[in-house]
Amino acid sequence: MRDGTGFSESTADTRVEKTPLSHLSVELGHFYAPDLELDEHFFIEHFRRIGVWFAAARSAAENANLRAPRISTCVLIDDYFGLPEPPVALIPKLVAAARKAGLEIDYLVRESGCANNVAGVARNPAEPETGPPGLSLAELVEARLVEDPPPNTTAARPPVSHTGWLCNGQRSPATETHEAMKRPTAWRPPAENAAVNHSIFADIELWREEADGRLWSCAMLAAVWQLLRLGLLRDNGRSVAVPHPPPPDLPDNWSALPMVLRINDRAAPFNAYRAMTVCAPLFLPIENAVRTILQQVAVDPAVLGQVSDRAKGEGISLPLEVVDRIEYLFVDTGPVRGADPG
Amino acid sequence: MLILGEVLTAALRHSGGMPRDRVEDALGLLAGERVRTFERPISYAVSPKTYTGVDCRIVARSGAKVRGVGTLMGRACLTGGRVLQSSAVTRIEPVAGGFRQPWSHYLARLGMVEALGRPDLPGTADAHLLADRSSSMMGMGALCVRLLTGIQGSPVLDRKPPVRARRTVLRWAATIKDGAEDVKWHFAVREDGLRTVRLELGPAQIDDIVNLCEDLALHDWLLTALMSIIEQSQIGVEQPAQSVVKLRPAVDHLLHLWMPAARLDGFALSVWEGLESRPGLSRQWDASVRRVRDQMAMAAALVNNRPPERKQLFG
Repeated sequence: MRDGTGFSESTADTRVEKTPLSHLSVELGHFYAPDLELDEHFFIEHFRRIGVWFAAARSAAENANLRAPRISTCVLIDDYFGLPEPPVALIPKLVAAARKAGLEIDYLVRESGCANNVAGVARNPAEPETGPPGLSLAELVEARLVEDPPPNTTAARPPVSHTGWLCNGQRSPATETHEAMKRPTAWRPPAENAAVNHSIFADIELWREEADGRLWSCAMLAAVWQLLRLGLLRDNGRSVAVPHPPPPDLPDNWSALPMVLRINDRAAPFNAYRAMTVCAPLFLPIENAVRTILQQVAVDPAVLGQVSDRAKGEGISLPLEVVDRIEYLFVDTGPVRGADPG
Repeated sequence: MLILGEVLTAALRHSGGMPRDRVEDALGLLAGERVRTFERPISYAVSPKTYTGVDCRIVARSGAKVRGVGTLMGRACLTGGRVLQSSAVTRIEPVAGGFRQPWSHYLARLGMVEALGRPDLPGTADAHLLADRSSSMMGMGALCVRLLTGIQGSPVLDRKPPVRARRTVLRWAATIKDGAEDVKWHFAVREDGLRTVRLELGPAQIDDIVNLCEDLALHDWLLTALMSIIEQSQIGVEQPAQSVVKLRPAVDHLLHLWMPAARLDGFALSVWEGLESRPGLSRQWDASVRRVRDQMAMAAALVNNRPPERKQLFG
């Protein structure tokens, strides 16, 4: 009735905004502060090794009966746990190194954008971007966590008090007791809820409270990052972290930049039906944690439906489950220091 | 296909009117999701849908049990700024094989519980409707209570309900049969105060069924609340002026809310049409409203035609 005769109220609207979609988003690097300090040669070597697999990903997409696959590339810069050198120095260094290795960085993304409210970035008023009053992308994802229930759980069980930890089963009960006159309980093993014969129990730290506020974990931010790449995040129905070209004069300060920078003018859309991450095996535990989190995120069915309808319209079959849309290549990308311990 | 639900209805614990932004604060159960609000033909706001995971027994009336894994949908709505409702709903889907899938499988099918094995669906519907008020299937009742008390405790409310009326619980089961042409329904009020609705209908949207059951629960609660206020006003026992004072909350807060099927259409309208012929909810409502207004009119008449007072007689 929206277009014809009838009555409608805008406050009753359930529509969600569409975002442009590529077929595939390939992550060419997730760089932490210790690695970002290294010189151009480190990055040339990194991109050269990744380039082989990027070519493989491209031909896989072409083999999947896509005549002109829309593929975009991205790199994620950690400006949350560490402080890399200023954009004015780092961005040209990365872009040049990738080109020397035969790759084009289409989008450069600030990791802190997943954790912090992106308010403060100059926005084009004609282009609605996220403006959650005080809500970050990580908080939007946290709100959508629906915990994996252990056997014999009814809806009477209140949501587990927010401890900042999320697991895929039942924890081993604490065996120590300090209460007098109470015998310590026998040790029991933890159990994975959907174990196949034996359990692989994972307990993931999502965040912890620090003196100056909540510190999100790398795994939680990476889960947000994957959902963002897949175009599955909305804030009150509006698209979030819309890509912007970098300003003509790069600032000294990362927080002065939009979260998603479109480095390449001719890039295919940032969001994609599927996401591929090419990284060092060192990152496998983090990605396992990311998948444990993503398995417990209930993405808005309206957004999921919209994306799968568009895939159907393009003749693409898309897995129903979000985690199945994410692929990984764990390959030797050269020496990586990764995240600092702690 | 079998869909089970439960609706809890109560007066919002807030004395005055609620501007839209406050309603949105109270019903904002999910960050980043909109509370939908409507102003016509009656003010109505509905929370975003929330989901809760379960892995528990699904019991049939015969006592047979199967394991059910999936999610329950929970939401809340506010009608006329006065009547708060919370709902728990899920669809029971039999699946072959006895394996539990990775949790992402269930989150790709929100609002559905997969019954591993061969569930007795009619028997499950019976067990749901016949269970004690306190022991609902899959913890649905507890979910409704949690949603409702969470909202009633919202800091934007002043915790002063304008009418004193008991919460009511309406439990429902809908069986969808592809070939069914018309809708069969049965509405029952049980001794322990539980209301039950059994529906059998052709293909329909689950949201439309939830809307219908919430609308039935809303009007049943309004009628129950009005009857209770009338009873407490002790018409014919107290002086009319006294009764009118006790009737006033009904006039101030309830009488304008009666609007059956305000936002419904399709099969839901035909259920309401049936309900109007028997038990005739609107007939009972109209009669009760007339009774309240008659008391008001009589009290007013008695004040206006008060016999001259002694002072005047002897003055």
